[in-house]
Amino acid sequence: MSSIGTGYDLTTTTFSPDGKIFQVDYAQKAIDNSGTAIGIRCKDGVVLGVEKLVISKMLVEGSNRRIFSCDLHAGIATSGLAADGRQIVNRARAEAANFKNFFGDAIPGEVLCDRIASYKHLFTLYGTRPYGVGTLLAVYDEEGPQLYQIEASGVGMRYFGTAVGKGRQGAKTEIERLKLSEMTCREGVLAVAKIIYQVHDDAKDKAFELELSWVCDESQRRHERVPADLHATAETAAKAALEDDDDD
Amino acid sequence: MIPAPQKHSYALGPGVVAPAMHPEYGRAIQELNNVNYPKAGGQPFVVDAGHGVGGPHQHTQYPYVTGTSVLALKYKDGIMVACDTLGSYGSTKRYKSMERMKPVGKFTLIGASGEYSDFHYIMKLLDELTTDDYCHDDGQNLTPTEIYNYLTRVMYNRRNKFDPLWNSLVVGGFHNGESFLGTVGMVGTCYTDSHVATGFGAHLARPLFREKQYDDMSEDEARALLEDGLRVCYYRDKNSINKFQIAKVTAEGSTISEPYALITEWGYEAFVNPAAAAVGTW
Amino acid sequence: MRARAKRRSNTLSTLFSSIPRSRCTTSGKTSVDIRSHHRSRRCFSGILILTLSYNVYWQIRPREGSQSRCYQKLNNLDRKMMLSAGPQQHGGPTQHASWSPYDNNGGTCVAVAGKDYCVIAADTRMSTGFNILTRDQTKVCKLTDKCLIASAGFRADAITLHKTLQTRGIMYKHSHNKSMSCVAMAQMLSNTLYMKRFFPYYAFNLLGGIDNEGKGAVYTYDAIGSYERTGYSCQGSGQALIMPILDNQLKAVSPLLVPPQDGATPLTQEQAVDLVKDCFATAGERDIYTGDEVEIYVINASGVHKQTQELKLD
Repeated sequence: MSSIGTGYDLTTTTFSPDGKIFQVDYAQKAIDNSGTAIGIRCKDGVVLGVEKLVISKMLVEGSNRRIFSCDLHAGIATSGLAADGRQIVNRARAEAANFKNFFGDAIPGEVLCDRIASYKHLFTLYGTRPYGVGTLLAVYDEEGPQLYQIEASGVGMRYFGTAVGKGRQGAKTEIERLKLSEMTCREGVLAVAKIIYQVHDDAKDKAFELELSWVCDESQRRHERVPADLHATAETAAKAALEDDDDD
Repeated sequence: MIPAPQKHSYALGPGVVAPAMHPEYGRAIQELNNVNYPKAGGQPFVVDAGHGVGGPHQHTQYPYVTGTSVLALKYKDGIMVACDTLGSYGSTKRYKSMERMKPVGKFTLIGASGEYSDFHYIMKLLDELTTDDYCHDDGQNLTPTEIYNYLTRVMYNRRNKFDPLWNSLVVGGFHNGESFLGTVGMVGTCYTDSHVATGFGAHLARPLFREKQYDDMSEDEARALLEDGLRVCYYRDKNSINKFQIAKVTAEGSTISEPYALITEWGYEAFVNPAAAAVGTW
Repeated sequence: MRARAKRRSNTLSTLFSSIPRSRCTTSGKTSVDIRSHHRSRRCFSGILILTLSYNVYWQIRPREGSQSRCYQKLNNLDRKMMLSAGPQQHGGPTQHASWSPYDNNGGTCVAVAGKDYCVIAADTRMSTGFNILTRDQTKVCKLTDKCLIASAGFRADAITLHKTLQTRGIMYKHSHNKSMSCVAMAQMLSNTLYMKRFFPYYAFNLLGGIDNEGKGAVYTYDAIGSYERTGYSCQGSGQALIMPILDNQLKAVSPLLVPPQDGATPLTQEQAVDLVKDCFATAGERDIYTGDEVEIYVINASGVHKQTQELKLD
């Protein structure tokens, strides 16, 4: 009983006297310690961005992705334990495929969010441990573009813009300043790249790779990585903005 | 709604009793076989083979809404596929705007004759695979050859379960500068060729293709030849309508045309009394 | 009804008798000449063929009283299906579109073994009934560097069989770090066929290759796995036409001889290839399921060599 949990943190089946499930809190910690992931909903789509911390210079570029498609029209950005994230994505893909198989149409964002949330929630009730992964879900369905965040606790909520991971506080502040309802995704990509560069902590983490994806009218409502040229533009602009700030 | 069973052959239609449905017919055919019929060959006019000839017959299911021939050929830029848009309900022209050609991924196109719901199911399988490819986003996508081989296995495995998918499929594709054209049948029979046709097309259109098709033919030539094929099929196949779509698969991807009609000519003397020149027919 | 049946059968006989017998009579020319003189792309086209070969139905169903277990099973299945689903009519048999799990795509395979070589060949025509599906479909599949299989019959079964054998050959190589010997492959083919004893592969196979002593080997099979090593063999639609030629030209060694005699033919490799070409030219002349082209593979110490020979297209 060395930790503060004093015995109430050994399993998800036990509440602490304060009404907490410590395992879930710890899972949230794992998420809070990982590279930032942010998502914003613009007027014509959703943009996801991830600060993927590069653990070794020897790593092949583009490996260990953290943004995934789970259907043509839906994408997920993960933060937290990478392996847990992949598991969640697998589940999301299965849910999407199952829905399409049964109902013949693409799974609506709300439903997909619910399904992922329920899945995560199961692990706060039984058996092993909760998933140490925060999930940003970007969907473009009949209802329009939507952004959801699903936490380790199994709570899923819809957002205009949100962030998870290390730099979430700073990122959220920046997102709040954006006029999301007037912004196109093309502008959103630039904004997301800029924020990720801004919240990146050079002192603690050295290298990172910027991952950007979108699902919007321009991409025919498909979730895909932003085109290489736009990605490059966004990255250059973000770096330039950062240097301007430094100069000030 | 499931149609009530009828005495006539579904394949030949009402009013025409398939020979095999009647023991007398069956016997007549068998006698024929004994005389000069090749042992390994087909039996003339036998559609519901086995009825009244060899004891209880096997069946598992029955095609309800069906499409007729699909024609396809190779040309200079890739593959051209064509078929009409009719969905027959037995011998009723039930649905007149059914698309029987569908793209799969970027480089492939499937055309289907036979049971339409089975075709839907097949497309569902393929869509799942292509969605999977999309999600993985690793630059690896199903090639026409892979799709063809996959379908071969699907069709063959279902026949092994005695629950066949009641289709003949045409797979056309263009990938890495090479065109691909193949066909898969209900029991898994498959082959690739420079031109293929399912159903009646194999009898009516392929002879034309054999005469005129060559792999370097221009798009216009290919279209003209394909339309000739469609036209003869329309003249002779009662389960067809004059509403066709032509699709092509090239390096640019696949495009399916809007439905359109062909100019037909019914004034030929041979059409007036088609039996006149064929002694013994009726 | 009866009168109509009669009429129909008359019609058919008329049609049959009016099949143009355009096949040539050849003097002892080589097969190349045959083709160049009588190559015709139109022979299989036209309405005539349409009327004749509406549907192919090949039955291997045993007649009443000799039902195998397999078909009892199938019939049970039938009954279940009839009870559970599908339109039914009282007091009469259910009318369904019926289908056969088999087709016969024809084709002929020949193999001849010599002292240090093996020739294995098959035509490339694929047909169904009176219809040629394609003129360019190989029936031969390379299983190992020293072992090839050729299969006539139902193409889908043959493909499946070839794939199975190829896969197992690769798995064998991975676990034993050497290729499967021809003898082992022969046994495995037999086992594979017998595994489907009650729903057989409708494939007629020849296995040809070089055995561990470097001698040519030919294995010949029936559809359910009975097999024998011979000096030469022929399978498929042209079997009845070619086998007598081979017997006449080569003469099988009596299996009764003690000590057993080597079954390999005394021919040189070139003679064997020529014989095979002649055989196919002959079969192509009379068998409508054999034609278009023959692929001839020679397996010897230096590897596998392929050559082709054109056949008649009619």
